This record gives sequence, structure tokens and C-alpha cells, in this order.
Amino acid sequence: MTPEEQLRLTNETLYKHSHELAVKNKVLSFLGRLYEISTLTLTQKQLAEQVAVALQAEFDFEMVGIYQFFKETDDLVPLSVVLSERIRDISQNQFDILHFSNVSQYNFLHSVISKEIMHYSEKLSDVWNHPELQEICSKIETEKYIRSSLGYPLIIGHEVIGVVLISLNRTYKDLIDYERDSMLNFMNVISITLNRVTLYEELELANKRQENLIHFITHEVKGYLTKSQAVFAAISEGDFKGVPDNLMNLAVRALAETRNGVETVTNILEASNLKKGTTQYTQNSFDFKKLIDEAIESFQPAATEKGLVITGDTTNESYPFLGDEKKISRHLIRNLIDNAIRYTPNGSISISLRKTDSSYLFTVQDTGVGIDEEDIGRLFVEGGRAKDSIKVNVDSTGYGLFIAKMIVEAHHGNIWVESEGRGHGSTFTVTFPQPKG
Amino acid sequence: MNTNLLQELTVRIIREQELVIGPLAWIEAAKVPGLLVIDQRVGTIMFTEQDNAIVINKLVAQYEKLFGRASHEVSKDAVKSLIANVPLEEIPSSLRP
Repeated sequence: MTPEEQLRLTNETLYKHSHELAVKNKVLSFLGRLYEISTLTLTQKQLAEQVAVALQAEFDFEMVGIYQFFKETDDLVPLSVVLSERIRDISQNQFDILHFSNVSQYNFLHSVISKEIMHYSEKLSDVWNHPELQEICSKIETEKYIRSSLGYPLIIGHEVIGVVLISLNRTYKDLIDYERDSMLNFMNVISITLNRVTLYEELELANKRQENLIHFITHEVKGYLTKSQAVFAAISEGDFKGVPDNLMNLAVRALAETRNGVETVTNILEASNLKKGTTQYTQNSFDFKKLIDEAIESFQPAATEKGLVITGDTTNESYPFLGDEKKISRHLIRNLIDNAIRYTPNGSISISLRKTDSSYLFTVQDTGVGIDEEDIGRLFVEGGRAKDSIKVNVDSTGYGLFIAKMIVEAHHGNIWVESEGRGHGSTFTVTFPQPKG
Repeated sequence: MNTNLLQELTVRIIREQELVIGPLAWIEAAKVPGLLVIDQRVGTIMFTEQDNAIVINKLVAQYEKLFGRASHEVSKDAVKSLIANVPLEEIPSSLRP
């Protein structure tokens, strides 16, 4: 063999290897695009549309239809149908809206679904033997725009969740390796992504229903509790003459418990509104320090009753703030101080407010039961509470800190907790950006 | 076959070869008499000779001369979907099935 021949042979061999790699690369790159579509889309319709457009453009298919299969009703419903320009001209959108009821009566589609394997036909009317399409199909067949059609089942586990119908201007044997290999791979990706999106949609719907139900129930319960509270308050505050002592004691206890109940239900409602984004915030100017001073003063009797020392450590200046004064006072400042008192059996609670260059730093430090690392992660989530918190605070709802966090974040602040662990107290820190000007 | 489709076939062949041999595909295409590469980045070419089908045959032969029979199949595969409905006699001979 001459050196020239050797060089040519090497060149050809290298070309073949490069070609194999190029085909793999193309498949991977298209799979990458499908994954990208799947991660960026959250609805079935959107996902199907983007996948069908990508498939049609990549392989010059004449038609790509992605359908969802409903086993209970035996229906095949179009999620997206993408057509080449010339097929669109002939069909006038007839394919787009085609819904197959009683799929079992359509042999081709029924086989794809029942046998769970790819089916192939060179007769368009085999696939689209829908009464509304006969004329269009015969026109397309006359023009020879479509030479073959493929039906792929979309399978998750052992269940067919949909079908992809592809029609092309070549026969199956004319497809190149890249096209044949890729399509099988793509069907798996489409099945998985379609399933993920379906689950997401179902989950979102279930969440919405649950939220509405919670809202409805808590609203109703709050109504009953409020009425009971009014009755117990009337008795215990002496509105009725001649109430026996034992009934009076009972009314006082019932009033306290009903107030706790109202508080819990209000918190659940508040958390539900915050999650749904229906909470309305007011914007008013106030002095942050004044709210803290007032809160310390009002909690002083409860702290003293438990034998706790509560101290405020703030500088003498004012802390102008713009935001929802009531929510910050009730759900943040008072909630943190109230928690500190509840979770501190003995010792002290110190509250401080400071200014840094650009923010306010508010801390509530106690010498209480402390929090271990595992529990810290549970504190600020909805319904989250530390493992043993209910032993220390029987009224813990698990919503207080979740609400506090949502309110802090709505005011562009941060909240976190630090603790050396069980028995070593804890420090809650909140920062807010200082208002400008 | 109209010029637009022939231009599309040419670009499709070069782009497919580019996936295998890289920018060399465009360098070799530029050497084909009757073919002018206008913008490699967006993929625009022009025919400077009357018989465009012959230019395409020369392009396919240019790759085959360097990389053998496999490159001819790659060129044919690249345009399969575009020529599926074109009458056989209108298809450049190097690309016929």
C-alpha cells in the first residue's frame, strides 16, 4: 500500500469514527433540549407544544401529535399537534382539534395502546381513520406528502399515559440510524417529563383545594369560637348578676382556652393567606423602638409571674420604619417575646435593638430550653415546631414563626435563630434594611 | 428543482459534514467550483454556475475524495427529508436513493 493510500484509509477510518460520535452528539444535544424544555415548562400543554415543535423542526416531520390517554373514558385528547406548512394548508387545523373518543374502535391507535409498542403504517387512513378526516387524508395521500406514520405509546410503569403520532414524507426504511435511534430515546424522555408535569399539575390542584378547605373550615370554626368567647367574656366580666363562683371560675378558664383557640385559628388563617399571597400589607411610618418598648412593658407581668427577668437594651434614638405596624408588632415582636417567655423556665430574656450601617438589628435572647440543630430547620416552616416543644408549650400551633418569617421577608428582612443546643438558650435575630432618607 | 431548494440542500450537506469534520466542511465547500460561501455563520451560499445540480454533485464528490464512501452516505442522509417528494429525475444524481 502506498503512503497516499494509507493516508486515505486512515482518513476514512477517522471519518467513520467521527461520524458515529457526531450522531451520538446529535442525539444527546436533542435530548438536552428536551430536558431543558421539561425543566422550564410547568403545564402539560406548554410542554407538549414545545416538544412537538422541536421534534417537527429537527426531523422535518410532516405531523407530530402528542396525545394524552384517559384509560377510564378510553379517550385520546390532543395536547399539541404541529404540522408542516403544506399539511397545514390542506388540513386547515382539522388535525389540531381532533379528539379520539372510544379509542378501542380505531385499530391502529388501539394496537399502540394495548400492545404498548411502536406501530407503523404506510397508509395514512389507517392511522387517521376518523370520519371527519377522510377527505383531507385522501388529498394528502394523492399528493404523496406523507409516506408513513408511526405511533409511539408513552408509558410510565406499565401504564400508557399517552401516544405520540408522527407522520413523515419517507418510509420507515428510509429513516437514517440517527432518526430511528433518537425517536425511541425521545419517547422515554417525553413520557417522563409529561408524567412529571402531570403530577405537578395534580399536586398544585390538590394544594389549592386543600388550602380552600382549610380556609373554609378555619373561618367557620373561628366564627363559633368568637361567639363562645363573647359569652364567656360576658359571664367572667360580671355582665350577669348572681353567677355562682364555680360557674365564674369555669367561665374564666373557658375564656382563656377559647382565646387560645381563636389565636390558633387566626394563625392558621393568616398562614393560609400569606401562602396564597392574599395578605394585604399596609404601609405606615412608625418608630420600631416604640413597638419594642410597648411589647416589653405588656409582657412584664407574665415574665414576673414566671420569675423571669426581662430587659430591653436599645439606644435612646428613634428607629423610623415604613411597613405594616400591626403585623410587625403582633406577629413578629410580640410573638418572639411571647415564645421566649414560654420556652424559658427560669433565667432571663434580653431584647435589643441596634443600628448598623444599613440595617436595624433586633434580637431576642433567652436562657431557655434551647434548640438543637435538627430542630432549627423545622422552626420557620408551616406547622413546624421543635420535637419536644409541645411538652414545654402546650399551646404551640407551629404557625407563629412561619408567619413571622413571611412578614419579615415581605419587609425585605431576614430572620434566623442561633442556639448552642438543648438547655443553652436561644437567640432570634431579625434584620431589616434601614429606610432611606 | 428550484434554486432555493438546491441552496437548502447544499447548506444541509455542509452543515451535516460540519458535525463530523468541523470547520473543514466549509473550507472544502469553498473549494468547489461554482459554489460561493457567503456567510458560514448563518449558512448562506450562492451558485455561480448555471447547473446547480452539478455543483452539488461536485460538493458531494469533494467530501468523498477526502473521506471515502461513508461521507457520501452522510451527504445523502442529510437531505433525505428534503427530497422525499421531489421527482427522481430532478434530484442531483449523487443524492438519488
